[in-house]
This record gives sequence, C-alpha cells and structure tokens, in this order.
Amino acid sequence: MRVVERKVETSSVLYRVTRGIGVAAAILSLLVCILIIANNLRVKSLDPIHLPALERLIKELEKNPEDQALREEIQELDLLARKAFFSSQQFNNTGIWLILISLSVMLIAFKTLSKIHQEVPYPEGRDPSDAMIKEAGWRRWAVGGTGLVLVGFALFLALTTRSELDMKMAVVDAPATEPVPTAEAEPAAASFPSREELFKNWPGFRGVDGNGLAPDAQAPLEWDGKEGTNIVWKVAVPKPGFGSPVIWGDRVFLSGGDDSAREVYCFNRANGEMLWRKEVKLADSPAEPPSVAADTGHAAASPATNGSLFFAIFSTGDLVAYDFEGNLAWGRNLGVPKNHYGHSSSLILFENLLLVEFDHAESGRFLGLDAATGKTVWETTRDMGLTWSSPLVVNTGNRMEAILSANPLVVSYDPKTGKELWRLECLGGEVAPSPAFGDGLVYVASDYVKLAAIDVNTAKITWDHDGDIPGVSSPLVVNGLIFYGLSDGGMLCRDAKTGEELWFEDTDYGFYASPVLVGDRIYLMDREGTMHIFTASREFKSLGKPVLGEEAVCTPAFIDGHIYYRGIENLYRIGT
Amino acid sequence: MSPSKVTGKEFRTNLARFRSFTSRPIFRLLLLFCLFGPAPVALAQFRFPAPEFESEYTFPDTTVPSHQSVRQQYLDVGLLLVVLSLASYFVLANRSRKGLWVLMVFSLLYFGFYREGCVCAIGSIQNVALSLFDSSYAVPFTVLMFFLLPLIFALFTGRVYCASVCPLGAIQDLVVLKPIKLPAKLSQVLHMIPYAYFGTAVLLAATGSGFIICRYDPFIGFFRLNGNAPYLYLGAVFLLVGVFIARPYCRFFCPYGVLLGWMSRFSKWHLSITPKGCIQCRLCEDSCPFDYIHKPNVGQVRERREIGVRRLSYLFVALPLMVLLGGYAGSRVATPLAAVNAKVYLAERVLLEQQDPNLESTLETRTFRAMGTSEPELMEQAVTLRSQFKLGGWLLGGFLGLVFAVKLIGISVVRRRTDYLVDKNACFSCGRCFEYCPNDEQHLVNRMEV
Repeated sequence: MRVVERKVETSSVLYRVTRGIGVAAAILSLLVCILIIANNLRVKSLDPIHLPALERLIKELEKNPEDQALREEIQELDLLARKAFFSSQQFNNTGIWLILISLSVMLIAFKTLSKIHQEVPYPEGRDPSDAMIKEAGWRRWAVGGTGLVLVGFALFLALTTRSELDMKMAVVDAPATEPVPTAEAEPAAASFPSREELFKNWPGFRGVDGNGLAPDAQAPLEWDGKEGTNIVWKVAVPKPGFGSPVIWGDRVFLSGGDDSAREVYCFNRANGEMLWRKEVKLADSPAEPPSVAADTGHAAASPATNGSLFFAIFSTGDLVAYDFEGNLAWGRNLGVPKNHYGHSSSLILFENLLLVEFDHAESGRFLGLDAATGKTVWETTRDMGLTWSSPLVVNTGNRMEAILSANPLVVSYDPKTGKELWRLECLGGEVAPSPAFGDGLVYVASDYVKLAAIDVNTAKITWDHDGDIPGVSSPLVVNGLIFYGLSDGGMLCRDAKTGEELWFEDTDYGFYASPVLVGDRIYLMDREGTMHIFTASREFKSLGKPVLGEEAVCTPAFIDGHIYYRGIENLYRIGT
Repeated sequence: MSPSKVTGKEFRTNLARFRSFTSRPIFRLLLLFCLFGPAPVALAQFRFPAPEFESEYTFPDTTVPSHQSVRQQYLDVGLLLVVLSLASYFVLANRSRKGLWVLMVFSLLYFGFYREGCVCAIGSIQNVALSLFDSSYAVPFTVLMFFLLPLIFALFTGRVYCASVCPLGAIQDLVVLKPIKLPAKLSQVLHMIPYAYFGTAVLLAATGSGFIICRYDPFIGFFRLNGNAPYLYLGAVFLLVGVFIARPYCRFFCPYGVLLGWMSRFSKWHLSITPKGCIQCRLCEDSCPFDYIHKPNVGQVRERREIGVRRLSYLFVALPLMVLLGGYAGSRVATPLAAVNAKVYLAERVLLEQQDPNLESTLETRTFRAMGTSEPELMEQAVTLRSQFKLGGWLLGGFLGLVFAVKLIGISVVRRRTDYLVDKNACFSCGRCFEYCPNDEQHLVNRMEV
C-alpha cells in the first residue's frame, strides 16, 4: 500500500512545544534513572550496618560493657547510618515517581507527534491471485514445524534430564536379586574355628559377631597414652588406616595404605614388634589407586582373621589373604569400587565363608567367598546406593541372617547361599553405621535420616527416631538398652524396645569409633582420644575418661584384660 | 595550539547533521533503550539488613495484615463489571476509540497501579485450575468473578476485556508508537506459544507446583514500583519491543487470551470495521497494528477441490495420532517439568547431595533436615507428585497435539470472504480501525469538523 505524504507543520508552535516537552521528559527520566542507580550503588557499597567506625566502637564496648557513654555513641552512630539509608530510600521513591511521571509525559508527547505524523492510507496494488494458496501452504508448514520442534524439544529435555528420584524408584521397585551360585568353588569342607576359639581371640570389626559384645573380657579403667601410664607398648604404624586391629593368638594384624602403596602388618602381641610387613600388589591391581577422602583413606575397612589366614580389603578393590607367616595365600581384585570417600565396609567371617559387602556407585555386590581359596561360592547383585557400613551376621532364633543396611534399603540374606530373605526401605543419605542386633530387633541408622528398630520376623519397623542419630559410630545393644555416640558429640541411651531416650551425656568431641561392651562396662572412644567408660545401665554413670594422647577413630579390640588400640599414628597395647 | 573557531556555516552544517542523525530510527531506538534500560535497576528491590546488635529494645509482636476488606473486593468486581459494560458500549454502540482509550487509561491506573496488578483475570486461570484438582482449595469470589466476567463478555461482545480493562494490555497499548507488520510465518509460529503457556500453567497450578503466570508477570514490578531486577528487565524488554511490535505479551504469550479467543470466536455481537456494508475501499487494510484484519478472498485462485478434500482427510486421520504423539512427548517431559515443584525439587536435591557429598547443601535441604521430616515421607510425596505430572504431561501434550491438529485443519478449510473482517478469535476490540472506514458517518463527521 502506498501512503500519501501529508504535509506536517513541523515549524508550528504546537508541534515544537510538544517535541520539546517529549525530549525534555525523556532526558529527565534518564537523568533520574542514573541518579537512582548511583544512589543505590553508593548505599550498597556503604553497608551501613558494617561501618568500620561502628564496628570499632562495638569491639570497644565488648571490652568495656559497662561504658554507658560508649553505648550511647554506638546507638547514635547506628541511628545516623540508618537515617542515611532511609533518606536514600526516600530519594529513590521520589525518583521512581518522577520517572513514572516523566515517562508518561514523554509517551503522551511522542504519541501526539506520531498522531500528527500519521500517514493517510492510499491503497494500491493487489495481492497476487495465488496468494491465498501460498499463504495457507506456508502457514501449514509453520504450524507443523513448530509442533515437531516442540515434540523434539520435549524429548530432548526428557533424554538429557537425569532424575535421582527415578533411580531411587527403580531400586525400590527392583525385584529381589537371586544369588548366582558360581562354579568357581564348592563350599569347602567345614573347617572353621569353633565359637570357643573365636571368643578367645578378636577376629574382626567389633569382635566375634561384629556386635560389639565382649561380656567375658576385662579391660583397665585408667591409662594415659602421653605419660605412658598403663601402656604396655606403643608402636608406630607405617601407613595410615582406619580399620580396627584383629588378633589371633600371639599376632595382631592391621592394614594401612596411602596413594603410594597398600600394606598389611603383623605385630607380636607380646611386645609390639613388627613381625612382617607386606605390600599388596596383585597382577590385576589398578595402576593408580582411586581418589578417596582423607578421613576415609585407602584402608578404612577392618580386616578379619579365622586363625589360619588374615584377610584385608582396600580402596582399590584388592582383597587379599595372608597366612600367619606373611605368605600370600590368595588375592583377587574385585574391581575398583566407585566410592568417593573410599571403600570402608569391613570383612566378616561366617563359618568357612568370607562375606564381602561391595556396594559402590555402579552394580554393588554381596559376595560369599571360600575363605581358604578366595573363590566365589555365591554372589548377589545389590542395585542400591553407596554405603560405608559393614554386614552383621546374627542368629535370629529361627535362622542365621546377614543383615546389610544401605540407602534406601535394609536387606537380609541367608549367609550360606546369599539368597535374599527380606528387605525394607527405611534409610537414606549416607549410611555409615553398621547394624546392631538384640532381642529380635535389628537397629539401623543413617545420619540426618533415622535410627530405626526393625523386627526381623516381620521385617517391619518397631520404632524410629529422626533426631540424635549416629552418623558413623555403630550402636551397641545390651540389656534391653541401645547405646551410641553422635558424630558431633554426645552419647545416648535409649530403651531398645520402645526407643525412649533414657539419658544423654554431652561430650566435647564426636565419635567415629563404635562402643564395645566389656564385662558390664561400655568403652566408647571419642575422636580426640578420650575413652568414655560407663556402666551399661539405664542411668548414666561414668567410670572413667582416660586419654590416649592422639586422635582416635578406630574401634578397639579387647583380649585378656588388655586393650589393643590403633590411634591415628600408633598401635597401643593398654593394660598392666 | 589555539582552539579552532567554528564558523556559522560549519555550525549550521553540524547542526543539520545532528538533526539528520537524531531523526533516524536507530537514534530513537537508542533513546528508548536508554529510557527503559536503566529503569529496572532503579526500581529493583534493595533491602536493609536486619539489625543484629543486642539492645534493650523489645520487638513488637509480629502482626499479620488483615484480610482485604470485603468492600474493596466488591468494589473491584463492580468496577470490572462497569468497565466491561462501558467497553462493550464503546465498541458496539458508540464505536469510540477515544472512549476505549480513556477507559484503558483508567484501568491501567486503577487495576494496574492502584490495585498493583492483583487480582487479574490472567492469573485467575491458576486459581480455578487448582480448585478443580484440589478439593481443599476454594476460589475466592473476587477471583472467580475476574475469571468468569471477561469470558462471559467475550462470548457476547468479543474481547472487550483486552481493549480497555486488562492493565497488562493497557501498559503495552500506550507504548505502541511505530508498529511494524511481522512476517506472517513468524507471527503464525508465535501465536502457538500461548497454548503451550496456558497448558503448562494449568498443569503446574493443578499439581500445586506454583502460579507461574503470576511469578513471571512481566509488568507487575512496574505496577508495584518495585520488584526483582530480572523481571523488571523482562517487562522493560516487552515494552521496548512493544514500541514496534504492538502488544507482544498479549499476542504471543497471554494464556488467558486462549480462553478469550475461544469465547470471542462465538461472540454474538463483535466489533466490526464498518458499521454498514463494506465498500471494499481497502482503507482499513493496514489499520490494525496487530494484523488481525482478514482481507476478502473473492477473486483469489482456489485449490482444486479434490486436493483440499484429500488433505483434510489426511489431517482428520492424523488428528488422533497427533494427540497421541503430543501426549507421549508430554509424558516424557513430565520428569524435568516436575522439578518445578518444590517438593520434587527438594527430593531430587536431597538424593543428589547423598550421591555427591562434594555438593554443598542448599538452604532448602538444610531446612528440611533441621525440621526432622522423614525422608521416605518426602520421597513418597515426590513420587506421588511425579505420577501426577506424568498424567498431567499426557493431558498437556494431548491438548497441544489437538490444538496443532485443529489449527492445521482450520488453515486447510477455506472460507469465502467478501468483505474486510476482523479475526474474531484474536481481535482485541481496540477500535483503531473505526476511523479508517469511510462508511462510518460518525467518524466522518468528526473528521470533517477537524
């Protein structure tokens, strides 16, 4: 369409005045905008609540809290700062109104000008005769194309979005995985130590059953690691590790490791002399160890022993068995676990089987290995999240069960076959405490989520608590009571049947080590190296607080009236 | 060196150059950018930190603002009714653009600046959607009236709400200075956005995930003279674009426009360009800044009938397939869409933090843990919401598939037009076309008087 040019009287007074008003209003609003921005920047940089002068006066007042004049001076200065701030706010508010008014004036002026300039239509020419067909054609393409783009965008979004919730739902809904009997090995002829033999020694993490119970043992109440009081011997451990010592006969075993090497150690129980030290290097060990957190390290899992062999597992997935003379009996790499902290589930023995909880970010497994040969007897896939807890084998009265707690499931297996017996979704987060068992209830915990008591016969929660949950330390169940230490300090006792809190004892430091019942006393080491000794009773009664003299995160071993303890740097034999 | 002296001739030449530059469109654009650009920074929120010092001052009890007075609510509804009625009168009986403009300015001042843009009909879609899916939520009377009255009026008199009542439309209408005609292909594509926005807003409201129409209202910051800088910038961009592309939010985003369009399509009385018969003078051809005037198609070459019939047959067969395809795509996008929901987001975040301990906890996850709510409970709620989103995704996608299919069918059905007609579905009833019609005696008289 052509338009007819209309002669516009641009020299008329009305036109020029309107244009002038419009431009002036535009300039005014622009200026006010700039002033407000400058004002905002100034106030923001001023930070009236943190004026250096004010802060200096406040510090002075802290030293002389009774100085009334100083107090008044602070109040006056504070008031001034606030007045300045609110004055600037008032300036802003006025400015905003000015902007609004000037923009309105500008719009009216410009609209008037555009009205004066309005073009008079003078149509000429017509659309081509096939315009309608062509228009409909490309409109169809536009609509169809937009629809396809939308579908494509939706599918792209769906394919590129990773949902943790979906993965969790998949784990919960996944059917129980049947164990895979392997042809590698037939269960070896029953050849394993008796219960009596086991109780004379300390075969693994938290003692014989991994339940932290040593009712027949004894231990001293007083020592001082720094002064050497009641310290029989103390030896430096070459490489760091957080696994507890295991003891059989006259031998004390440990594992340790860092980025350069992973090692196992054997000490003479009588005098602390290192009998042998072996670097673990298998044919299929990874060339470089995985990256792990410093407070977990490469040797966080406690080793185990059955009296003829000593077993250890590392962050590299290397699982080894040495005889008591330091000869490698067998070794295999289970695959480098994807575990950002580092693998820390301890080994546990059940009859002639070595049970290995090998949960990691991808395809976790629970394995039953022939302890003598290392060959897989059974293997069960565990499609759930990472975990740092250890398995617990218990006799429920009806059967033996290996109970593993993870995120989000607690699962029970037949330790002989690896067949799943029951599962319950109740945990979340990072599951580090190992389960504890007593009177038909298994107790599981994960920090920030819950502490729950599960009836093993019904696989249902009897009680649970959302607050005051152990983060790393495992609970101890004894005499119908449950005891545990909190990661950020404090010890708790609850009624094991009802979950009712019976007492809470505050401590200066938190707990990574787990409590152990020795006779009728409970020993619980805090992270600063103070052993909290108290009675296993419904009321808190402290029996002593001896100190080690170095940081401590491991759970101790108790034999023959002595305590074997691994500090951050040294291994101790404590007693008289 | 002494400063060079500028002669009178040079000065006049420079002045002419400057005037020539300032009259260029690029200069005007720059000027507008300078004006709208800093405004959001000026209006952006700035909060004073809470006092931290200890004193003997006793803080007063926290008070909760009293409910909005019932009188105020009735006044809002009453005014809405009056303004809608007046707008209908100006559109149908009086044919007065001036009347509509005055009404529009009033609405902008009252419903926009005085009532701070709330309650508004556009946002009311979400209240109604939520009440339909959540039995514990009841739509307030005012909100219901703001939702229904414009639709009822649209059913009888067209989109008079857009013409003179909606403050969002009004603020954009005022800045229309140099409207340009968008390429028709682009315009067609952009016109599909409101359907997607409408469907998404309903889904999110129905699942209790939030009122995105209100959250992303680009002009609310201007009405309240305060707001977050990003939203103020969004509004400024809309206004800046609106100088050249008239009412961009109304045309290419407004979800309420979808409902108004459906109603207006069947309106009993609607604005017409000419009060009498069209004389085909073509003067109104470019009068609509929104490009909502259909030209007559008499004399245009038509497609062969069998081709058109075949295409329509294909499209009718494709219709259910498009609904299914849309539904499937919608169900797949439900997972990312569900993350908009605060509970689903929290559950995802909690799980993510568990998987990657290097991730810093957020305020939400810290609060969740501090409150002691059980994680399985949260997960259960998140899973329920996710399944609602899955179903909602099917419905949303199916709806969009249907819209696209119907649109394609609509394009393929050719209707004979002998006169210049407004697009009843989209026309805002702003009345700009009135004065272009030489058959409009009233405007003719006015012009003659001028």
